[in-house]
Amino acid sequence: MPRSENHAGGLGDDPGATPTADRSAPNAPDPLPEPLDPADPTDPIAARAIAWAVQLRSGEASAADHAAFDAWRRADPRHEAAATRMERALGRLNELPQGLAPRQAMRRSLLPQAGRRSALRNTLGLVLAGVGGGLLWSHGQRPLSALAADFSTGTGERRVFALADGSRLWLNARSVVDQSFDGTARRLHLRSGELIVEVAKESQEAGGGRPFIVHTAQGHIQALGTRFLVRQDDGSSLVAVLHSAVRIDPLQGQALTLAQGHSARLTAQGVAQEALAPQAASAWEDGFVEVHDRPLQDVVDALRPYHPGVLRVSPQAARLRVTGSFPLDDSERTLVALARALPITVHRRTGWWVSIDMR
Amino acid sequence: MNFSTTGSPEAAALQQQIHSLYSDHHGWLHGWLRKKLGCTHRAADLAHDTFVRLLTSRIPARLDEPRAYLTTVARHVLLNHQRRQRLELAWAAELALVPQEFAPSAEERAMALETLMAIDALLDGLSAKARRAFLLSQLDGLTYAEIAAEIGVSVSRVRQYMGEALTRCYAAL
Repeated sequence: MPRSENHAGGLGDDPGATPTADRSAPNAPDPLPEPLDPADPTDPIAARAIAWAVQLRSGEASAADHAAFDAWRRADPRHEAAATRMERALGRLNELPQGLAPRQAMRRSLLPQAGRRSALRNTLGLVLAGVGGGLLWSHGQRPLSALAADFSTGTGERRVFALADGSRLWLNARSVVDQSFDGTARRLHLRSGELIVEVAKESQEAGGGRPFIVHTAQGHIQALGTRFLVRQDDGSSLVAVLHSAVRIDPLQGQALTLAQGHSARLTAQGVAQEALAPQAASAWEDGFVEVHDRPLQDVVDALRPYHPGVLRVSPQAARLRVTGSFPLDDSERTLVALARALPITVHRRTGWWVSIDMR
Repeated sequence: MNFSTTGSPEAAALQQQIHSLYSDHHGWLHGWLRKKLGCTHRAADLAHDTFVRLLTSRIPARLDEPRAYLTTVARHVLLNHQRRQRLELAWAAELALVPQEFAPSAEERAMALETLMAIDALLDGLSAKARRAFLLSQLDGLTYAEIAAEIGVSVSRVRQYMGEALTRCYAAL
């Protein structure tokens, strides 16, 4: 494979100056033009066409860059031929499915095999360690007050509660839920944190058949079946349907019926579907945070309610992509594993203050 | 089996040469591939692909060791086949994790697999970071500044990676 560095005249140099600054050089008329070998990328004209493509795809190309590129193309039929070849070469790679999720799946299928395998091994090791360590579920024995029952969990605590109507409520760590059941409806108010609810069907004869509704700061979610997850984030909430379907009514905008296997996010503006697998979102129920090519921020957010004290991540590190399944109950161990797999360092100032930064 | 090419004398000579290669060695090549693959149908497919590939390549006018030449080409076809299988598996596994709502149609999946093959061939031999940079640009449409932040290098290093990848694109057309 021929290399371009010695011929490209600008690749790798000061990026701002690359194609625009010295565009006059290939424009200078050649008295005896050499025929262009269309397949040779080290040809100076080909190298220029490649440098243009690099510049125009950067996301920083100005209108002046585009105009200068057009002028360069028109200046010589060999320029035009090289530019066309570059466009056709890239066009060949544009048969892409619609939507971000399939494209991300494409990217992941192309990642180096060795990396994938070692990531998987790492994950597997952690999963086994997590199971061996034992998952502690405390089954809620809290008496339900007739007036207003508060369900809550502390740091690192997950609990399952049996509700008066026979439904079950799972709370992730640091979560708060209020209940108001009356003659017309069964309502839960998620004040903070994350819940999974398994709704018991009420029989009509027993005066039942009351709708089951979960309220968040951004709207409410009515069960059309049995099992779903709701999380109250900062300024938005997440809904993931694990079984059957739900109807989502945002405070603003149109209602949405969401079927099993789908997730959606409620914001102040309304509700929109989200490319997040509900099975991964609900992994905390089993004591794990599971992510598929998500930013490190998501893992840190999931660990936070399990970490006593401050867990800080720098914006740059927060954007790193992570795939894996990590135990929640040993956040220290998960952080060590992440630091091994990613270019990050974990600083422990005190036991209460942990910060994650780029290495 | 019928090979047709466009009508120049060179093409006619090439076609004649491939015809005689085919009639003399096809059975032997099929056997060689069957031993490698353990499947007679797939071996037949790949033997066919090998001869199709000969049509689009430059064969030396005189072949002293036609079987050695055929095995070289067939090895390439075989590697390509295994690469496709590996990608198909990885692609199917990744698609399984995509929520149904966002899953591509069967036609889109097939098209995407062709694109995956083209990109994989292109990126073969590039560094892991350069691969990632190119994929983030081509598949996710990120700007170089975003890619730089994502993989933890400078923007001018991202430009250099893109230069390497696009140079390969250009040469591979």
